[in-house]
Amino acid sequence: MSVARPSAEAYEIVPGAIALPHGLLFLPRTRTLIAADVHLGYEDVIGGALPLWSTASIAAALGEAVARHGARELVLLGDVVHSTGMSEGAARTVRATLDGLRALCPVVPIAGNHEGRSRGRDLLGETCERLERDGWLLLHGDVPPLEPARCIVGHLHPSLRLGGDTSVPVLLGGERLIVAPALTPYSPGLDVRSENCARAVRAFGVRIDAMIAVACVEDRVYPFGSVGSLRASTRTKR
Amino acid sequence: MELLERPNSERGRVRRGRIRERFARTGVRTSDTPTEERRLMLSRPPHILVTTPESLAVMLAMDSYRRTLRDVETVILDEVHALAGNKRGAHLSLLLESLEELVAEPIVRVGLSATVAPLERVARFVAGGGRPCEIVDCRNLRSIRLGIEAPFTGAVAPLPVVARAALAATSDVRTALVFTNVRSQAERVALEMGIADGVTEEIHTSRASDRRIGVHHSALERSVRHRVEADLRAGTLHAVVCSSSLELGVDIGCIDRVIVIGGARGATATLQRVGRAGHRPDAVADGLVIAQDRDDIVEAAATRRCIADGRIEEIVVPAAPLDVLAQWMVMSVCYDKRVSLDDLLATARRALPFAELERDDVVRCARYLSGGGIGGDEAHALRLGFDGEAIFGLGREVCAAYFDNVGTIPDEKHALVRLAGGGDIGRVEEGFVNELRIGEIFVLNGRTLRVKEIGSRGVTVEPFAGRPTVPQWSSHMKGIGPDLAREISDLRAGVAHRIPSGVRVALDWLRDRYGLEGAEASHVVRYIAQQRAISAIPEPTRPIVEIYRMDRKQVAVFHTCAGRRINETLARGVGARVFAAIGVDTSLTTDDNGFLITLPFGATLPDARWAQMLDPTGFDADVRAGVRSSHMLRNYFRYVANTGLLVLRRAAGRTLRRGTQSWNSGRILDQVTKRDPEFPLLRETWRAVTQDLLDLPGAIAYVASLEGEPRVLHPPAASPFTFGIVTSSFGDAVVMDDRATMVEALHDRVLQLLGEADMRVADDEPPRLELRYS
Repeated sequence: MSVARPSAEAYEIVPGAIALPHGLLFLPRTRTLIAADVHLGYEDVIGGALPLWSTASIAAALGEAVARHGARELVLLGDVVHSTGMSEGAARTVRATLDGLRALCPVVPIAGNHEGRSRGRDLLGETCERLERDGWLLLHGDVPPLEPARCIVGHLHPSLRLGGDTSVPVLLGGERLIVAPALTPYSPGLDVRSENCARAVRAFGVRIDAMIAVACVEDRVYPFGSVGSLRASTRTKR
Repeated sequence: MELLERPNSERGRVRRGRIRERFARTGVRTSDTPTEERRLMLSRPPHILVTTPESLAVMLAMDSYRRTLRDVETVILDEVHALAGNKRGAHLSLLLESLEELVAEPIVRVGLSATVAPLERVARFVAGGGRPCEIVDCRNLRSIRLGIEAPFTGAVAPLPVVARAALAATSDVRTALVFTNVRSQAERVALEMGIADGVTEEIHTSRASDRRIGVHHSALERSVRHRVEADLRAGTLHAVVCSSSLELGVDIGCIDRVIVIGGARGATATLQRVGRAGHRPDAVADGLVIAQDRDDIVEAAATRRCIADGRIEEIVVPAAPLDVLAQWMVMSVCYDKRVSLDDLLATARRALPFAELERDDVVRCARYLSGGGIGGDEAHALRLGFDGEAIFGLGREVCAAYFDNVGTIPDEKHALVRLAGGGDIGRVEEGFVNELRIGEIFVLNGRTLRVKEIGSRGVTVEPFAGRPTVPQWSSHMKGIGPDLAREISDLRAGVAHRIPSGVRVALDWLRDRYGLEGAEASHVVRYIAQQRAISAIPEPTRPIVEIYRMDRKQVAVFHTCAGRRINETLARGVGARVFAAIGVDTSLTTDDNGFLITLPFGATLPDARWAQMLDPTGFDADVRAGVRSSHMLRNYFRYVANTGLLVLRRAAGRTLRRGTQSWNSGRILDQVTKRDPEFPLLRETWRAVTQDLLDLPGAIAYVASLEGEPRVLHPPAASPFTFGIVTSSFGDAVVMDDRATMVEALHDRVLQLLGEADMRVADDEPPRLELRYS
């Protein structure tokens, strides 16, 4: 059984896959940086006369990670925008944000449910449903693949609830499945100890108890060991 | 043309028919008015228009209606007490000033209310702008008779007994209204009355023509409610059991007697309810309170005293709600009007709620509405334009969004309750979720559930075998105000002080001061004597804290007797202090007479610590700390954001799902707080939560008024005054019988401890109720 380790700036959650701060994932062999569920334009899409805070902060975090790790490409793992229904001004900002990232390295957006699959083309440019990198199949994860495959997905927004409204994003890793947490600060998603999360992971043919949980904050990652041991130590009933 | 403002548009339906018979053309303009009728109204404007604040807010934005509204001569605000104290009224007050800007001659404004206080303040609200106003006070023209009946001998009456008493009280009259405080109880009482009346089937399935007892509450379909109202007017129904839905407005014809189950929670509500009886100028309104427990008798007697003294709850006009201001600013410039900030400020300040409005707030609102964003960051969705001097409209699309989001009435939002392992149980009102905390236990659809998680999408629960800690009905069960609470406190203390001089002295005092006699008076004296013997009597300026162990947890009951809102505020402050002391969240239960704090398993605090919990030093900051982490703040921010058009509830849109999705108000609130603590809508959220929902000024005044620390006691059994708060959790009809059984069990325990002595309480000599314990 794996055990919790001291916090670090990076942690190899599965051989060949590195957990980074913010819940980013890095595949060093192909130098692929992966970010899930960034939900750009959230504040505008909800009908808000709000500044696009999350779009700006996420873009900054991605730009910094690309530079620091010398990423050759940035894969956005679906739900790149919160919805395609945003104001003209917000759409301009989202396009400019993506262009800014493209100036650093190629950006590959994978289609998710929030952009209405391929409907997000206007904002995101060409999207794809899935792609392969270093033996992994990268896809959004709202629909598990029919064929057996080692998958890297997003969609579930795995997190660890710390009480009240406070939660921290968690990267889940196993031999056959890696689930990346959401970068958007607005949707904490599923607690990794919850039955709903276990069920969602089971759809990929994986038992959540055996997966490694790495909690990710802005500048560090916290390897917690397996979800099974985490659940046992925090005594949360299923 | 005259405008008749009605807070309750349903009344317009009936009243319109009446008016039409006698006068010229009338029209009704509410959100339900068909488009065809609206068009007709423009081509042939009615002489009398019955409308709502929301519809006026739409009409004032549209040029076609503005032309018609130029001819308004008189505005009548009916049931003004239902508006003056809330945001809907604040909104209306701004709209009336906008209307005033349109017309050539000043409008004659008339405000109507049967029960409102203080008259001067409400008159200024109606008149606006410091205009002269004449008050016609005819409150004393009708007299009220309020009887009190307690159909029990122990401590509580089970619901079937209450229903039988209610039925008996209707036997000598033609028509009667029976008020309950909660919807679920209305259903249950109607059912039990029907059974007592010989209806064997369930009341809902029996044929309408066989029924003599109807039921009416706001959760029922509109057509069902109209049918009941019609049957009542026609005299085919003998009695109707209702929650507050028939308190005002609805025309129900002539009612001979009003029965209030439990109590109406205040002098105003009592007057409104009982006022439904004998609706003729010369008639005496005949009302009867049927007490379900001994607290109800005390409350009813105190209410009667307040009414006799003319002390009815005072309306507090909200102080410049900035979300309402922001919405009104958007209206003021639809579709492409231009208004200078100086004119805008002058107009707004004529409305009483905005009399103290700061120019800086108007500028801040204008800046954010024009895309200035929050904390200097730009936003893309604009509600209006702003050039530093004036605001101006941005055309059709923004107006369409305004029309879709107009008004201050919160959406009836329900939160989904689902089991942790999967499976939905049902829905509860958002207001109820506001009050919930993790670990609390409540009842829904007959199941006892413990809260595991509260998220933006709903509540996750797990089944739980045990007593609920939260009343299901807390969200719509009205609490009593500070005046009545004080009178209750005085009554309790007054009886307690006289008991040593003899029971007769106490009974005489109850008769002279409260008109309380017979079995009801004896109940009250016994009740207070028992409390005195088991614990102590809380004084208005010297509360008591009782410490118990329940289910191996330490429980503290604060008898603060300050009314529901102040108690709730005190509970949040004490909750924050307890958190600071033990580092773990606690569970809080509040009622009219105090609040209860349950510490987590294993945690205890010494008496000295409990005694310091109401220390006025830093209390304000502690309440704010307690509020900061609450769902109340987050959920209220959602409402303010909607009203102030920061986040749209609905967006007119070709765009996909825009503005209709759920959003994380907690996380957005965090962002706003971090970026701009002075953001107008953030300040409004805090203002309203601490002043309108809670009563922070009242709570601070209360702790400052205390003479020394509260007494901390360890009663050997739950004291009679705690029966209410311990079991207030059991108010839902499903467990109503359990509640009665539990109170009786607690009462038996008290009697057991007091032994025979309790029986002597009716004698002329001082009762020998003494209990020695360490």
